[in-house]
Amino acid sequence: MRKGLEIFYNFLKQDKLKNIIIILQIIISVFAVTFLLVPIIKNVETMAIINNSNIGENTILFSSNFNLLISPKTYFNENYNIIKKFINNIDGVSETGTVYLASTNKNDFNLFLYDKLVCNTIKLQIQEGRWFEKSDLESNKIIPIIISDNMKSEYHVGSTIEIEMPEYKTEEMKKIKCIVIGILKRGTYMYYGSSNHTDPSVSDLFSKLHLKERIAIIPNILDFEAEYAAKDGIIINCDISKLNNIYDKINLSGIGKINTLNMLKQNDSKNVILYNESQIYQFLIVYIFIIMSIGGYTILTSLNYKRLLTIYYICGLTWQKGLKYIILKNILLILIPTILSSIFSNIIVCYFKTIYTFNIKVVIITVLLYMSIAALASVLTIINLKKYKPSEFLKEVD
Amino acid sequence: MCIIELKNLYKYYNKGKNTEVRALKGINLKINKGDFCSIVGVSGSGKSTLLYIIGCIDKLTSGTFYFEGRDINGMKDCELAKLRNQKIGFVLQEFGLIEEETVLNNILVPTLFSKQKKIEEKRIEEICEELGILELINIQVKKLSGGQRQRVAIARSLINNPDIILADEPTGSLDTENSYKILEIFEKLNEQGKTIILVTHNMELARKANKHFTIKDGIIYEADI
Repeated sequence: MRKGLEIFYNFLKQDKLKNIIIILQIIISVFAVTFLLVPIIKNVETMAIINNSNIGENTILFSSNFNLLISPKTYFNENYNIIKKFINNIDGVSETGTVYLASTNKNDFNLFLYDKLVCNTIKLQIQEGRWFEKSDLESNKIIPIIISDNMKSEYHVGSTIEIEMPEYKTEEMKKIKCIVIGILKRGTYMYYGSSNHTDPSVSDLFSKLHLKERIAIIPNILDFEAEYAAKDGIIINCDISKLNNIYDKINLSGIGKINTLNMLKQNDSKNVILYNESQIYQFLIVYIFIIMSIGGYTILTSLNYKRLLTIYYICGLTWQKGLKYIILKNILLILIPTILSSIFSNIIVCYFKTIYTFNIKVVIITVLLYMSIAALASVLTIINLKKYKPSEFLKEVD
Repeated sequence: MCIIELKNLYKYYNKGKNTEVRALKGINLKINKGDFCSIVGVSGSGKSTLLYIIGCIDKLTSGTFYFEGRDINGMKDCELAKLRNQKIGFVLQEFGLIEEETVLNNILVPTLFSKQKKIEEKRIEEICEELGILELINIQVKKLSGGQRQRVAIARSLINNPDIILADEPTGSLDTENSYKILEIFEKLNEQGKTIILVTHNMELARKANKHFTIKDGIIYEADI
């Protein structure tokens, strides 16, 4: 083992400068690959979530107008209830649903309240337990709660959590007993219910859950009026034959904009496909350059090893074993810098572009892509080195 | 005791193709333990090819080759590698050393492939002292002169205490003075019981051996020079 490592180290320390150049090529190109891969993966994952949700023909999204006096910051009960009441009174609207964020820091997590319609329409990914069912959405003494993965060490499915919510009018803190019915999948997409009024899209409603973000979701079935901030995207269940009437009423009032979720979903799909296509073309061009530069350089460097390989051969190494050392050297020389720079560049991308969160899938895909370069370079090296006989190399060495 | 026996040995390159080269044609050769043989021939006569076959580096096309009575033809690559490591030491014209490594690391290369756990320091010192390179042990090979490099190559060939030393034009890159010094080393090693096969085109050096062969157009002749 020790001797094997020594031989491997001897292979690695040959051509130090060329190996450093390969490492630099990897670091720089991994950054380019990460910048292209992160949005592609995010889009693919978001689409999967959207496709999984119960968005039907009769579900529409209302995006409120930011320019109104009712800005998201003032979106507390009274203002918000005015809008909701207005929408609910439109002929053809059967139900509305919103996401609320509890306005208290008494809990050591962010508490979200989902209206019944949201609970029934959106189904987030659960790793343990289950999502809300119809029976959970009736007023209960014990409220069902779903928590994020990072709270798993403190609570499990079936355990109780006592949360605190301020009463809207008296501001008195009320304690509510909840029972954990499910734990969200680690790094899944969370439905935050925020919508961009100028350019609404379904994917805006979802964001990848940050690994450190502690959140809990309860259905909005409290028996008192709580103080919370409502998100600006409202989903509406309606009679689709009266869509034009709803559209006219909301448009004329100037309070916001509506779109059917199905239409937005299709638009999103088209946009994602178009965006991903352009990203994929860019990615392919970058990848071909990477294969040519890193792969080609690795092959050239490996061919330089024939001198060392021949010296080792006459001293008692088999040709096959020598080739194995070269493959191992190629793999480690590419693998280690790829993993490290991929993790680092992911962190950098997420730091500068806050819409993205660290995604291990990007690291895995990057590593696999670079491993394919290492494999290709190794195969071509072996084909090249196998063509020769040690005696021919010996004449070159000599 | 016969250490190497070649019977009707042929070596063709690119057999059956237009570019076929018949490097060795029906070689019959017997080398006993303790012999000091020289093989002389012009460039392209097949002397290096013969040496590579004897050194288990190249494979023969037909015929038989016995090394210490064992048929080489049926051996696996790992067995041949073991033979090269334990029984044979190589000395090449251009030394075949790793330039960036120290003298010591070059000498120890064959030990990387042997099962022996550690070579005694005393043995390394003995070999280096005998070859006059003890004070150079921690110096990079690229900083050495040609004569010094060839001594390092000889030290490397001796480290696993092989029975036979194969030298392919060992003085080809050296001046006359250094050539004779290297030859003296081979004579001394032969006196200590090592079998030496020296391939050269220098007749003066070849005369120092006690068995002489000439190779011409792939055919070997015992010579009286």
